[in-house]
Amino acid sequence: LRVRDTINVCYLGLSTVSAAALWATHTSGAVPDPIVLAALVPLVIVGHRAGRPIFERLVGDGAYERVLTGTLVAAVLLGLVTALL
Amino acid sequence: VTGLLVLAAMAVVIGSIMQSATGFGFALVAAPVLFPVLGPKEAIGTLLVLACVGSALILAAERRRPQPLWPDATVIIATSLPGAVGGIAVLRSVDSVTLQYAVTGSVFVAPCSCAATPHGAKSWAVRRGGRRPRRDSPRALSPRRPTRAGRRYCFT
Repeated sequence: LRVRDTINVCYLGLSTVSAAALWATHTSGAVPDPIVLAALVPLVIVGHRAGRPIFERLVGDGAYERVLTGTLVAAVLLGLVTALL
Repeated sequence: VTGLLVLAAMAVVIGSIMQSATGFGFALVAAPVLFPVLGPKEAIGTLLVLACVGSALILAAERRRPQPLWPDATVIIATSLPGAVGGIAVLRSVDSVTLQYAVTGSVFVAPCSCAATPHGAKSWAVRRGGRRPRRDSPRALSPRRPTRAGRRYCFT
């Protein structure tokens, strides 16, 4: 739990730093569309609720690294497909 | 609703599940899909907000007191400042297709760099708070190697 908490504190900090950097450099076009956010934030909440039991199960089964590697590989393939499209 | 939008919604759900299940991975899954759908700049802003929501849920919505390692988190966040400025320079100067390939490439590099780390996150967790082997245990001869108890501790 400490590692998971630390990573997410870092994410909050990094997001703040990134947002501040975008604002300070007057980067235009980086403001998210409120309609898109309204559609996607509930999906994040749903994903969080679905992922919590998986976390507990991964801890119990010791399958953490296998699942992680598989998901990363899937993300790479997905990214390549969308880049080609 | 186009197929890419549905794909983006699926990527956000899968990324959130991964973030909640493992502690990270939202942007790794969602970014490669959101970039072509929203465009690089808007995708970055959207990803920042969604990642904040996901992290806040992990830290604040699980009915427990968060226990981050503050010294490590502080160092990581402080050293990210130059990277953030450099990233914006890249965002402004590189076209969207090249940026898409860069995002995909960085996603590919992430697991490779984890695999190349000698002791990985597990020993980091053990070093920062996991149980150490007993002094009279044979495993005490190789203290860098995480014990079964320490390994379990990392993810609980």
